Amino acid sequence: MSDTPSIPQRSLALTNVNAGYGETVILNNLSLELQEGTTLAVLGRNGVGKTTLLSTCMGYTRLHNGTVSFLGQDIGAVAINRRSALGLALVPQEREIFKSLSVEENLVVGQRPGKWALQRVYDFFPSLHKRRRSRGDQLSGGEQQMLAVGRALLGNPTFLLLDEPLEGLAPVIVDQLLAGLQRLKTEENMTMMLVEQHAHLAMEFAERTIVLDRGAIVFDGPSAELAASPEKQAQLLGIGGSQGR
Amino acid sequence: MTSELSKTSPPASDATTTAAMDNFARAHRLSPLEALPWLAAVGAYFVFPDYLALGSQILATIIFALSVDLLIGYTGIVTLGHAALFGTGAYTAGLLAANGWGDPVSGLLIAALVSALVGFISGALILRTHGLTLLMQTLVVAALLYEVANKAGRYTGGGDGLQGMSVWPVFGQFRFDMLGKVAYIYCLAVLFVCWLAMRIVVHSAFGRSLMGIRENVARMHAIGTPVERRKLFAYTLSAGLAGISGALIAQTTSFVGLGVLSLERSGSILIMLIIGGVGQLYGAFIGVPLYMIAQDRFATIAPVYWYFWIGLFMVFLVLFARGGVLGILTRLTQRKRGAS
Repeated sequence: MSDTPSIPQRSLALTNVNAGYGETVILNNLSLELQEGTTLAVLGRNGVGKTTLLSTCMGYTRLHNGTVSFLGQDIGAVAINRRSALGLALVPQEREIFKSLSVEENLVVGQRPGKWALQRVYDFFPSLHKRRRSRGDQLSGGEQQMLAVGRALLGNPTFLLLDEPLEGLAPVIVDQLLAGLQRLKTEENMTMMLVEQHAHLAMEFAERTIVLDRGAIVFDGPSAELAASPEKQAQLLGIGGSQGR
Repeated sequence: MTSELSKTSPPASDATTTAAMDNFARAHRLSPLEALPWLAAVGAYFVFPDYLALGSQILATIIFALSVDLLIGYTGIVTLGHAALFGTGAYTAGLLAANGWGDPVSGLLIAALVSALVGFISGALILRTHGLTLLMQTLVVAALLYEVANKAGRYTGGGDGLQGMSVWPVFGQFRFDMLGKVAYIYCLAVLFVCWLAMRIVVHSAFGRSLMGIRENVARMHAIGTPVERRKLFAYTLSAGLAGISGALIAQTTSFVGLGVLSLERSGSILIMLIIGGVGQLYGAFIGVPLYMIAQDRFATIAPVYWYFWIGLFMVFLVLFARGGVLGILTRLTQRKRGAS
């Protein structure tokens, strides 16, 4: 591998996107670009289109107008499973663990060749290795979340879409999971888009933040800028400066 | 970027291959309990020599139940028309034997291929639908083939059934005898091969992906699985197995009637599977013998009302024993382990 630092390429781009479910449009003329290796926090009040944004990237919604491209390829009409093969992976809010499969079976069910192999995921999340024979429905919420992330990694993605991964987890599990995601960011240079209700944790984690309101971007800038401005947070997110976990 | 992990780990390809081999060996490891059905089948040959004809039917029907289990139990595709593929296999083997090609083994393979082809074509059409629509489509396929067999009486014998089959000795050596000894051993050998194939499939990565599809289709799409292709492959594979089962019945009874394509056959195989336990591989080995032996016994005791007792048993199972007999056994074992 060359030591020469590579110039970041455009990873994901949404241009003038109008998308939603059936005839209902949720995202309004939304444009967004992400370079490879960047992390983006997507914040906003409930029902503003955060999950719809991730779903649109993955192909679950109806694209009324605009283009969605990934690594330079227009993927607007590409099937969901093909998007996954191109390198996009979604960790859904509900985790969606296969309950009747063991942890190990859950992990390998969508495995694709690449640098992420089973042992590597176990090294990343040691508690999964301890529970590898347990069925999906025997896991705690934190273990399920780690499993959802691990399963996504075994698809060997280059872009992770994470939908509220910290929701409902105990603080100690939140720390463990964030440590894993941090390693993905620093060691693996993984591009990530993180939808999260824990605004301060998300801003700490991601270098860039967007805030959505009624399907449109109302703030797009460095996370530090928003984190340093309680007024903006109150105005855009409706939260006080002290809200963390 | 190279992580610390990859720096300290053995070469990735070696580690991956070793891990994959370990996983394969672990997933396919045989349990001593798995010998039980085979010991019972071999034992039945010696203990019940007068019932070998019934035994052959049971063994062949287990293959049919396995094929339905692959669809319903493992992939989550509910079908009410699988007799279409069973009947296709039966008529293929029957027509071959009635028209000068009575070799049972090649007849079986041809029947499996023809059924798989019919399964592939019908599956490509009907698997685009879901739920109730799919259920109706499976019924429609069975009804269509039933009418084709009925109307093509010149070839199939129509309502009178296919006559004049001449099945040759197995491997040119073992002639089907009146007592049904050769038929029993032949069915047992074919069942063993089918079970082995089915076992490999359900414990493979492909089999796990089918279970994933059963549990959450949307998630399987999202992790990159070509869901429609996998479902079609499972349907085709299941059709091939059903065809083998139908062919076995045709060859061992030297008769094929319209009943092989009937709704009743599609329904009864579901009942057998539910009695044994759906999606557990061995449910077929319990449900089919229980149902067919009960049918045989009840039909002797009360020829008109035998279905009443089957119905009563089903009500009991649905109310108190979800997961079938195998489910009861599993829960009892778990309780025993928990107590100790």
